[in-house]
Amino acid sequence: MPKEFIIKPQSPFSLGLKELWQYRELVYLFAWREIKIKYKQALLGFLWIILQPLLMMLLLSFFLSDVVNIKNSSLPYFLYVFLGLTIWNLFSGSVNLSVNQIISNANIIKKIYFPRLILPTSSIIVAGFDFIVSLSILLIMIILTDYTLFQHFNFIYFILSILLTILFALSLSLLLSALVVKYRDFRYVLPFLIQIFFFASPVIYDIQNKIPAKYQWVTYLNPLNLSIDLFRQSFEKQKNFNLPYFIYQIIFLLIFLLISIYIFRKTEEYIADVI
Amino acid sequence: MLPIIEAHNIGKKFRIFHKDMPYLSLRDNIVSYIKNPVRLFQNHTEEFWALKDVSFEVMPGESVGIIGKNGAGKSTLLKILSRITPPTTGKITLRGRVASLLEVGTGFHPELTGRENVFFNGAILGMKRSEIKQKFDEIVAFAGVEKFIDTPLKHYSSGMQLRLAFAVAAFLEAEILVVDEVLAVGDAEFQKKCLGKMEDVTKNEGRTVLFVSHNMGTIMGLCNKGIFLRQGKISFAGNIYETTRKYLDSLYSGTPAPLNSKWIRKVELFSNGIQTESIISGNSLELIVHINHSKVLTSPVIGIIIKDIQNNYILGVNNRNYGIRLSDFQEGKVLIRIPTLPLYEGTYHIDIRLGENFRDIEIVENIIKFEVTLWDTDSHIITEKPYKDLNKLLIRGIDFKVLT
Repeated sequence: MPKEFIIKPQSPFSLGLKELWQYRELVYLFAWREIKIKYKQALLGFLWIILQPLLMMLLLSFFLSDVVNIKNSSLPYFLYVFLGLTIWNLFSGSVNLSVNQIISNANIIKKIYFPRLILPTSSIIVAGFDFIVSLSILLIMIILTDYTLFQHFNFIYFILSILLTILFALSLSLLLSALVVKYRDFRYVLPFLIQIFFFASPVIYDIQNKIPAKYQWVTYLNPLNLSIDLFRQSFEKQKNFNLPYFIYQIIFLLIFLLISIYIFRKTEEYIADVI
Repeated sequence: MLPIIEAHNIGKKFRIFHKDMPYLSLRDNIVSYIKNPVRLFQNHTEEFWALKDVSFEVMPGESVGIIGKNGAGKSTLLKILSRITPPTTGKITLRGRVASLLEVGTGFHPELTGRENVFFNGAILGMKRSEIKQKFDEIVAFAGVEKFIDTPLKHYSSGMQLRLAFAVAAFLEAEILVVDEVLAVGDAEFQKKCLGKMEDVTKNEGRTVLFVSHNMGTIMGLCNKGIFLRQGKISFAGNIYETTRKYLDSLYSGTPAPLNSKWIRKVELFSNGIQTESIISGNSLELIVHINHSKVLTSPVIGIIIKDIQNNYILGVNNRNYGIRLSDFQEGKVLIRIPTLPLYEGTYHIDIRLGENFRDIEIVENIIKFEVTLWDTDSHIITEKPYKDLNKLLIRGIDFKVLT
């Protein structure tokens, strides 16, 4: 006799991570399907993922390099922007995709069971794919312009930054996906919210210069401040690692993640009935 | 032997929101809270039990047909069994892998090739990658799309897409199959193929199948047990023939909906002289229309239009077409008799047109509906092919008569 399985009302405290692990093949397949679809439909196909960040960087450097003051950084402005954009795209790509995945896969959700956590998780992988492409562009760019930058490269900063970004992107994706299931018109608020995050993060300028010293604490509320900063620092000559800030950020993110998973799981119960 | 499915006191509660909205809107919520802050603390939803106290057992190898009217909770039960939505109360013990086919081709994407779609669809239905790889050639052969397997799905004909979708589902190796009316799609030939495969699965492979359909003929062909759901509760469970009988009986024992007509008081439907809502294809149809007009109707004209579920006209007849003159009356009953109605299985609606001389008095749409099954009392499936569109045929022997 095969193993027993019991269907019963869901326990409010189970996070469903074990099940997510059992379904890991499907996480990968959802990501793979999304990547395929994305680049099959695009006219330029794969070329587009290379062009998109490059064009954005060129555009921003052209218009902003003289205006923006980045005295805390020794990097040339175009590199400063590109590093910021790389992390930013990983974050915004994941969040955007997660929310859209919930809506565009409504027909699958209604017809088949799978742990719904798969959708935001696979979105991170899709954004991660674009991220890796961006990293290779970065590599080529550094080799072509100033390969001495590699002397200062610090892998730990680099990895910690990615970790923080993914943790934040995942938590926010879960929370926003749950919201969009409940309130469908939230979808229209999302681009605006993303825009706010863009300007509240040091992507194209140094946000700490903008905010009076008295209100610096506001920047602690946005984990992207630390993750973008660490990502840039991994290439900077002068590094300063603020350990208490880092520990605070990790704890903040872990609590946020747990709350988000909890809310997402509560929504998951009735997602097939309302979507 | 332990039952393969054991459902115990399953209940599912839905909240009905008082506004007619398919989903909540953030804007509306905020606006309504601002207008009336007290609402925040009020429970403004109504509860509704789609299923209540549903308990049953299924033994390995049984095939169970779940029947009931729309809204009786059939789909909800299937959704709970396939884990799409959790039950509010109770629990179900499953002793085997469940594959649910509430739709064929879930997750098919037009931009992806046939091969890619097979892998994704298989995975989402619960197959392991290695399993799909191993069965891939068989699936493609069953669907008959070998040549196009690396072509994007958008270039497939709808028939090919359907065949491929069904082929993936057909090779699932779950012990328990949960099937909704997926067979209601596609052309007659494809439906036959699917039914054949389903029969194979239930009868020869000995797997457990739960099957929902509105078509009693199909259900009786495939299932040996039945569960009849009525308003979220099990009304009857047992042998499939008894269950379908109970279901068909219940269809016309309920209170009739009020007639939305000025002059027609009542419509009764009979087949072979017995009042019913379910006609076996090829049997007769008799309608008795009770009319009460404000003044005497001179040479009244009464016509019926039979439409299928998609509102296609199947048959339209009136007494003038047939050269039958009805005697004048103000209040009376008219009998319309079609000696043989060789229709396909399905649900049909009837419109009634009432007229006088050459003017229409009233047209009442969807005045009554009936089911046609391809099954007779000896449980033989009728082999003679019924007609899709009777308008193209001359139906002989239609009779119109004013009863006293």
